[in-house]
Amino acid sequence: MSDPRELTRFIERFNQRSASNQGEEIADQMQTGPADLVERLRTDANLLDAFAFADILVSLEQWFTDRAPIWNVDEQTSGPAGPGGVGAEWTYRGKHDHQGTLNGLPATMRDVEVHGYSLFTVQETADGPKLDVRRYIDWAGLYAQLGLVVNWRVPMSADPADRV
Amino acid sequence: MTDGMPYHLEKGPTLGLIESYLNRADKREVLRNLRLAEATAAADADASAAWVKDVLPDLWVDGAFAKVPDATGVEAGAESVRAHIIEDWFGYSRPTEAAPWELGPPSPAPTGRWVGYRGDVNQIVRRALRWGLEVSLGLMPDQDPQDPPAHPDPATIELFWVCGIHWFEAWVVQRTTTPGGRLVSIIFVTPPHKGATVATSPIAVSATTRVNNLREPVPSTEDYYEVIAFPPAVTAAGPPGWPRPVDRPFATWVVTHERHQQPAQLKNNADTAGVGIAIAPPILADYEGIGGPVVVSPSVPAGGVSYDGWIRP
Repeated sequence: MSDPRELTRFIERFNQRSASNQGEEIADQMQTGPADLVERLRTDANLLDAFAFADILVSLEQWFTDRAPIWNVDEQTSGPAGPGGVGAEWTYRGKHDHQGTLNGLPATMRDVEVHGYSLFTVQETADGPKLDVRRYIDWAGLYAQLGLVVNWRVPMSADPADRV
Repeated sequence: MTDGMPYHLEKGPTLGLIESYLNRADKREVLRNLRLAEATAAADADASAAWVKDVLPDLWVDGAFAKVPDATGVEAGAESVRAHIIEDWFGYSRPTEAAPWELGPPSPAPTGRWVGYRGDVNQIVRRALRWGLEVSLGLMPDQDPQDPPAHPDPATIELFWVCGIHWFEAWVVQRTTTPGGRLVSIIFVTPPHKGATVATSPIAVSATTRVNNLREPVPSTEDYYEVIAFPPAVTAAGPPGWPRPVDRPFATWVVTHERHQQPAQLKNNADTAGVGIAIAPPILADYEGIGGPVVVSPSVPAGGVSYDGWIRP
C-alpha cells in the first residue's frame, strides 16, 4: 500500500467487520507472506468476508455512507478459486450523500446497492511474490442507480473506409 | 431526419423543408390547425398523429421527397418521412401501412427509436410548434388566431435538432434581429436513438452521406459543405452563384478539433491492483481532441443547411 492513510483505513475496516482486531497482522501478512494469507483466506470464510470488505470499503467510503445491512458475502459462490486463488462475491449498500466525489457528482442522496466479485491471488514479480486483487464491480449497475447514462451515440470515423 | 445525423446538431433536409413551409404558410392558419389538433388529440392515437400530415399540406408534395432513400416518388417519400416521425419519434405503431396508428408498447418499452427514454414526444413536438407559432405571431395561447396579432409580420421560425441528452425537450428561443425584426428558434434536444453515431471528425472525406451498405451516415462533401481555411488563406471560390461563407444568408458552422480519439480504450475495469488501494470510478469513454480547430459547414444531407435556406428537389 502506497498511501499510509489507506492502510490505516483498511485496518480499521477489517477490524470493524471481523471484530478480531487482527487488521494489523493481516496487513502485515499481505506484505510478508501473501501466499500464506491467501491460503488462510481459502479456508476461513469469516476472514475472507472481512478482508474483501476492508479492501472494497477503502474505495467506497469515499463516495457513500454505509447503510444497513452494509455488506454480505455470498457463501455459495465465495471461497477457493482455482489452485491458488480465493474469491468473494459481495454486496455493499450505502447512501450517495458525499458531495463532489465520483468525478465531482453532487450528492444524489440515493440509496445504492453495489455488486461485485473480488479475486485475490499471488503474483510473482521481480520483487518477490505480491498479493493481487481483481475487482469485478457492476459499474454499469451502480451508474444506473445514480442516474447516469451511457451516451448511446457511438463516435465513429468520418471516413467510410474505416468502418468496413 | 431521413439522411441521418453524423454531427451533434442538425437541420438537414427534413427539418429544412418543414421550416421552409412553416415560414411560407399562413402562420395563423397553421396555428389554428395545431390548436385544433391539440384539442381533439384525446380521441384516439391515429387522430392525435394526423396533424403531422394536415397542418402543412403543401409540404408533403414538395419534389424533394422524391430523394428519400428507397422512395419511388414524392408521395412514397413523403409517406416514408411521416411514418418515420410518427413511428420513430412519437413511438406509435401500426400492423400494416394501411392500418391506423396505435400507441406503441407500454412502459417499460422505450418510445420509438429513442434509447432509454419514454415520453409523449408527439405532445412535446406539437406544443413546441404551437408555442413557437404563438411567439412568432405575438398571440398568447388564450388569444384567438383571428385577433389582431401583436406582430402583424410574423417572426421567421427556424428549426434545429441536437441529439444525445437524457430526455426529450424542445426549446423555443426568441430574439430580435434587425430593428423591428424577430427570430424564433425551435430546438429539439433529444436522447440518442437506436443505431445513432456521431463522426469523430467534422471533416468529410466521403462524396455522399450514404455509402454502400453502411447503415449510418458519414459527413459528406455534398451540397453546401464548406471548410474555412485557417490559418487565414484565400478560400477557394465556391460554385458560381455562391456567396462568400461570411455572406451566406443561412449556414451552420461547427468549430471543433479536427478529430477526436480515445487515447486508451478501456478494455478491463478489473485489472490487477494492490489490495486496499482506493480505486477510481471508471470513465466509460474518454476522448482527446486533436488538430484544428476547424470551421466546417456540414452538407445538407449530413444535417447542414443550404446557403439560401432552400431544399432543392
